[in-house]
Amino acid sequence: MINAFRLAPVLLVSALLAACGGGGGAGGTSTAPPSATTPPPAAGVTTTLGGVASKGPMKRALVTAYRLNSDGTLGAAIASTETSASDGSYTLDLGAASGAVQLVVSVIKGKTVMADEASGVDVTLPDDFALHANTVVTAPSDGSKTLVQSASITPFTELAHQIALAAGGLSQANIGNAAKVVFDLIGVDPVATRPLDANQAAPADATDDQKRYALFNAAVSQLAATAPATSDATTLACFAAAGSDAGKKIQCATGQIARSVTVDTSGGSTTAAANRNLLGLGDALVAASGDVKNKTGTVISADDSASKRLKSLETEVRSAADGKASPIKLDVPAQDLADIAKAKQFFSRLRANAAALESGPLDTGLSDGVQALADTVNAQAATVTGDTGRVLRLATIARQLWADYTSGATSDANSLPVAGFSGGCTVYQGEFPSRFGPADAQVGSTGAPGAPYGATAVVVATSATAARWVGCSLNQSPTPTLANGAVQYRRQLLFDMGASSFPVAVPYIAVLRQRRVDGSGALVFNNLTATLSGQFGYATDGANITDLHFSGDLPPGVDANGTPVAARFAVDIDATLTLLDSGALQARLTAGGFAVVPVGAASPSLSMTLSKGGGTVIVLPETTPGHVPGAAELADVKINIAVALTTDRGGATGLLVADRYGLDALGQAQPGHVAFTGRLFAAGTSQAVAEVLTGTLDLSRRSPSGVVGSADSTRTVAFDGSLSLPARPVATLSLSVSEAPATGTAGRTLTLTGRYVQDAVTVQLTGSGNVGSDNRTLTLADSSGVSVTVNMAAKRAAITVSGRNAGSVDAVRDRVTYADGSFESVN
Amino acid sequence: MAAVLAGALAPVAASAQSAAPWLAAPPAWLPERLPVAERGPNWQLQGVAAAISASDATAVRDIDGDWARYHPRGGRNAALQSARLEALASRAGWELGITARSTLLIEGSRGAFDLVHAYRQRDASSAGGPLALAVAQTGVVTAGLRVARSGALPLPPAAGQLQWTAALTALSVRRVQRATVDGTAELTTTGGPARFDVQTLQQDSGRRFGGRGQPDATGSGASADLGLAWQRPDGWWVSLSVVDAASWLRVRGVATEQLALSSATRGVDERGYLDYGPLLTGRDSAQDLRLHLPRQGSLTVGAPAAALWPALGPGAAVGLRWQRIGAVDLPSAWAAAPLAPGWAWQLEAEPRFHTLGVGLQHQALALMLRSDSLRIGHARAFGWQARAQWPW
Repeated sequence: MINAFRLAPVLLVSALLAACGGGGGAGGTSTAPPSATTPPPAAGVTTTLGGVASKGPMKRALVTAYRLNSDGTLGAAIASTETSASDGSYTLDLGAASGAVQLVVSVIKGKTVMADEASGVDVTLPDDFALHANTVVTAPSDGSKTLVQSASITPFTELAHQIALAAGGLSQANIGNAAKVVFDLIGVDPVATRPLDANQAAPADATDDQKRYALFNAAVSQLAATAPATSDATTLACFAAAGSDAGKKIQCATGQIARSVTVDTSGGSTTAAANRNLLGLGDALVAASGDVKNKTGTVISADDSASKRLKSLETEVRSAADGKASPIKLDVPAQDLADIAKAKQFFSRLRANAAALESGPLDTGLSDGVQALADTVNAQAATVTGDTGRVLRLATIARQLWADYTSGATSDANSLPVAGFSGGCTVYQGEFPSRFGPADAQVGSTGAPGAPYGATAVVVATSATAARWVGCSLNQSPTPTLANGAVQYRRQLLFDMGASSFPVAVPYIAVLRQRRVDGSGALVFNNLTATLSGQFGYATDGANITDLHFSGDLPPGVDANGTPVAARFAVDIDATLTLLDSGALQARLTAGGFAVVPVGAASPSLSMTLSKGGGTVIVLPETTPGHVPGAAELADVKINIAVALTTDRGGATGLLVADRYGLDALGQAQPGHVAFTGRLFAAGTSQAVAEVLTGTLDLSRRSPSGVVGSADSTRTVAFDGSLSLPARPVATLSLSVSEAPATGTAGRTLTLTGRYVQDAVTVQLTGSGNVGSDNRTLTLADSSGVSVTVNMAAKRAAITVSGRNAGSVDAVRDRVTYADGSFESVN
Repeated sequence: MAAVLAGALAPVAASAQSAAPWLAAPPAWLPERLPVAERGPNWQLQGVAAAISASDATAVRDIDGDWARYHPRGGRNAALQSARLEALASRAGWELGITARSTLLIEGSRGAFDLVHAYRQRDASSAGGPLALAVAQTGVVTAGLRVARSGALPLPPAAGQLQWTAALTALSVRRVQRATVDGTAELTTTGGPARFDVQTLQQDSGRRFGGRGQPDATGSGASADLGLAWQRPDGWWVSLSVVDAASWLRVRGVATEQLALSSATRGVDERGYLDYGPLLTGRDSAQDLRLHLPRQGSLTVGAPAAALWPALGPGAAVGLRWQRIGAVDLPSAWAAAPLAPGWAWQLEAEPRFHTLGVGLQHQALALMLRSDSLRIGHARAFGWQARAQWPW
C-alpha cells in the first residue's frame, strides 16, 4: 500500500524521450541538488575575491583592490589585505562591488619576501616591485549570497594588464581581450587560474592548469637566474643595473615578460604581437620543469605543446625584421556576450566538430571514409607487400637452387624445404614455357598432369648442363589427394635462368591456379589468372646480393572462399643493398611501386609508392639466428620510407621514420621512435577525396633501463598539424599524450596536453589520470574564458567562464545545463 | 419552500438506510460518493483501502521494463494507477473522513506507445511509418479531511426515494507530477537516423526530478464530490457519483521542464560552415502550478434479480455500471447474491481491460479482487478493495 502512494518516478514521457534519442528525461535520474541551479537572489549579495599573489609566492605583501571606472580609468580603492606568510594567498571582501576591478600587489618594506623557485630560497624584492591583475566581478549565478571569485596576481596578469593599458585603457573589453592574448600564449587563464608553488608538493585536488601555471611562474625565475636571451635594450639595461641582486633580477625578468607583447593601435585595428622580450621563455620553461626542485608532478618537456608554441613564436620573433611575431587581432566580439552565450558557443563548436567527424548524424561519412581507407590499406596494401615479400623469397630460393645445381654443389633438382614457408622450386630442362595453358583460353584452362605449362613438355633437369630454367610454386591449402578432396591454390613462377640477360634481368612468367584430384585420381589444374610476366634481376659482389630488381605482374593469392583477391599485383622494385661496417644491412629503394589491379578492372584500386623521390632507406640489423646487435649496429638501424598511397577511398603521402632502435626483452631490435609526417586523404559519403590530416604523428618510448617496451618505459604519442573536417574551419592541432610507469598501486599514469586553434579560437586541452581507472580528468578551456573539467568518476562537470559559474555538464543525462536554466543535449 | 429545504437537509431515514440496496453491489473501481450510511444515533466507523492498476498497452509497473507483453488498442491508450486509504466516521447523515489518495492517469496516442515499444524491443520495424505522439500524464498524491452530508429529496411515495450526497475535502498536495508530449516521430528500418520533432512539458514536485523547483514542493487545495441515489419501490435503483466534480489545487515552486527534441539539427552559418544544433533543447524553471483533479464518475443501475428472473430467490441483485476517469470508460456488469447468513458474494465483469472481479461481503468486512489474469504477475489490470466497519 505504501508503494502505491509513490508515483512512478520514470514513466512514459521519459521512455518516449529515450526512444527519440533524447536521453532518459528528467524523472528520477538526476541527483543534482536543486540549489545548484536556483535563480540568483536580487539583493544582499556580497563578493569575495580570493587567490594568490605569486611570482613565486609573495609572502606578506599588500594586495589592494580598486574599482575600475567604465571609461577604463582607475577608481577608488575598495579594500586591501596582506597576503599570507606561507603561500602568498589572500582574501578580499569587496562587499556589494561588481564590475571591473583592479588588484595590485605591492611590497611592504621590510616584510615582503618572495619564494624564488630557481634558488629555492626566499628573496627580498625591491620596494617598488608591483604586479597588477584586472578582472570583472559579477554576481553569483548559483543562488548563493556570497561569491568567492578566483583572481590571481602574477607576472602574466601583469602582462595582461600592460596589454590592456596599451590597447586603450582598462575597459572590460580590453581586460577580456588582454586575458585572451595571454591565454593564447601560456595556455591557462592568467587571472582565474590559481598557480601552485612549484617547489611545494601539489595538493591532491590540484588541476593540471594550476601546476602548469606554477611552472610558468618558475620560468620567470629561470629567466632572472640566467643570462638574458633578449636583445631588448631596456631589459638588458635592467639586468646590468641589477648586478647580483636576486630581487632586482626578478623584477627585471618580470618586467621583461610584462613587455613581451607589443600592442599596435594604428591602422584602425588593435593588434598584439609577441616581441623580443619573449626570447628565452621557452627554454626557461623547460629548464624550470626539469629542475629537481619542481614538485608539481608535472613536466613540460621540449615536446610539450606549450614549449613548442613558445619556441615557434621565438623563432618567428628572431626571423622578423621588426622583432615581432605575427600580430593577433584584439577584436573579440565574444567580449560583448554574456558568459552563458560564450559557454553555449563553446559547446556549439564542439558539437559541430564532433558531428562533422561522425558519420551518423550528418552523413558526412568522414569517419567511415577514414575507416574504409584503413580497411583498404589493411586488406590490400598489407597483402600486396606481404605477398611480394614471399615471391621475392621464392626468387632468392630459385637463384640459390640454380647456382647450386649448375655449379654441381647439388644434384637434386628440387630445393630443400624451408621451415614455415609453403613453397619451393625445381630446376627444369628444355624450352622455357611461354604461357600457362592454351593460348585461346588461359583463364579457366586446364593442363594434364605432367604438362602443367601448356603445350610445352616439361622435364625435370637431369644434369647441370641440361638445366635451362627454374619453376617455383607458392602454395595455399594442403596438398590435394583423393581422400581429402582439397583444392590447393598455387602461385607459380617460372624463371628463365638460361636467358642471355641472366642474372641482371631474368624473365619470368607467373600464374595463379588451383589443383585438385578428380574422381579418377587424376590431378586437375585450372588457371585462375592469365599468364603474367616480368623480370627479376640481381647483382652480387660474389657473396652477397648488392642490387635487386623486380618488375612486372605477380599473381595474387585467394581469400577464404578460394576467390582471387585481385587480377594481378603490379610491382616495380629497385633496391641497392649495402652491408654497413656495423653489420647492419642497408636497402635503398630507388623504386618501390606496388599496385593492386582488381579482377575485371584495367586500372589499380590501390597504388603505393614506397620510395617517392627515392627517399626510402631501410637499415636492418643482421638476421643471423642468435645474433644480438651491438650498439654501433643499433645506431645504424632505421627505417625511412617515403610513401605515397592512393586508393579510391583516399590515400596518404609522407615520410615514415622509425629510429632510436634498442633491444627489447627478447633481444630483438625495436624502434624507440616512430614518426609519420605527411598528409592523409579520405572520401566521405560524397565520394570526393579530401585532405583530412596533415602534420606529424610522433610516437616515442623511453625506458630508464634501456630495454625497449619494458614496464618502466614512458610512451608518448604526439601530433602536430592540422585537421580538416567537412564544412568546418580548419583546425591546427597540437596534442601530446604520455603514458608513464605506474607508481604504487595505481595504474600507469596518463598525461594529455594540447591545443587546437580553429576559427581564431584557441582551445587548450589538459588531462591526467591512471590507465584502467576512473581517476582521469580532462580540461578543455578556450580563449574566450570558457573552461570545463571533466572527471571520469564524477557525474557532473562545472562550466566556468573566467572563473565564474556558467553551468554544468550532467554526464548521466548527457545534458549541458546553463546558469539561466536553459539546457541542451551534449550531442 | 422552507419545508422542502428542511426535508432536503433532513438525514436519510434510518429505515431506508438499513436497506440501502447499493451496498449489495460490488465496490466500484473508482471511488464513489454514495449516501452516507446511518444506523442510529451512534457513530459508525469505517476503514477503506483500495488500489487499482490498469493499462491498455502494458502494465504500469512494467513501463520501465522491456514491453515484451504489449497489447495496445487502436486509438488512444490509457494507463491508470490509483490507491486510496480512508478512515471514516458517520452519524446522522454526516460523515467525517481522513483520506490519502494517489492517482496517476496516462492517456496517449497509439503512436506514442508503439514508439516506446519499438525502442524497448529494439525493433524499429514494429513501429513503421510516421507516428503521432500525444501523451498527457497526471499524477497527484493528496491527503485530506473530508466532510460529507447526505439528505433526501422529496418525491411522491410511488416514485421511491431520492437521496443526495455532497462532500467537501480540504486537501494537502503531497506530490504532483504532470507531463504532456506532442509531436511526430518516424523510425527507419534501414539503419538510417530516426526523424522526430517532439515538444514536452514536465512538472514534478519530487526532489529527485531535480531542476529549479523547490525540493519536494507541497501545496493545498480542495475538492467537491456529488452523489445521487434513487431507489424505486420495486427495488430498482440508480446511483450517480462524481468524485472531484470540482477541484482546485495549487502548488508553488514546482520544477518545470520544457523540452524540444528535434532531429533537424543540421544547419550552416553565414559562412557556410556547419552549425550543428543540439538534438534536445529546453529550459528549467519553477512555476506555481494550479490544476484540477481528474473527475471520476460512476453511474450504477441495480435491480433485484427476482424482478428479472422470478425463478431466482430473494436477496440476489444484478446491475450495470459505467465509470469514467479522464477519457477512460469502464463499463461493467455485476451480480450479487447471498452466500450464507450474513455473507454475500459479488461478481463483476468489465470488458475494457477484460477483468473479472470477485467479492466477498460481510456486514463487518468486505473484500473485492479484480484481475484480467489468474497469474497476477502477468495481469495488465489488477485491483483490490478492503473495507471494515464498526459497529456492524
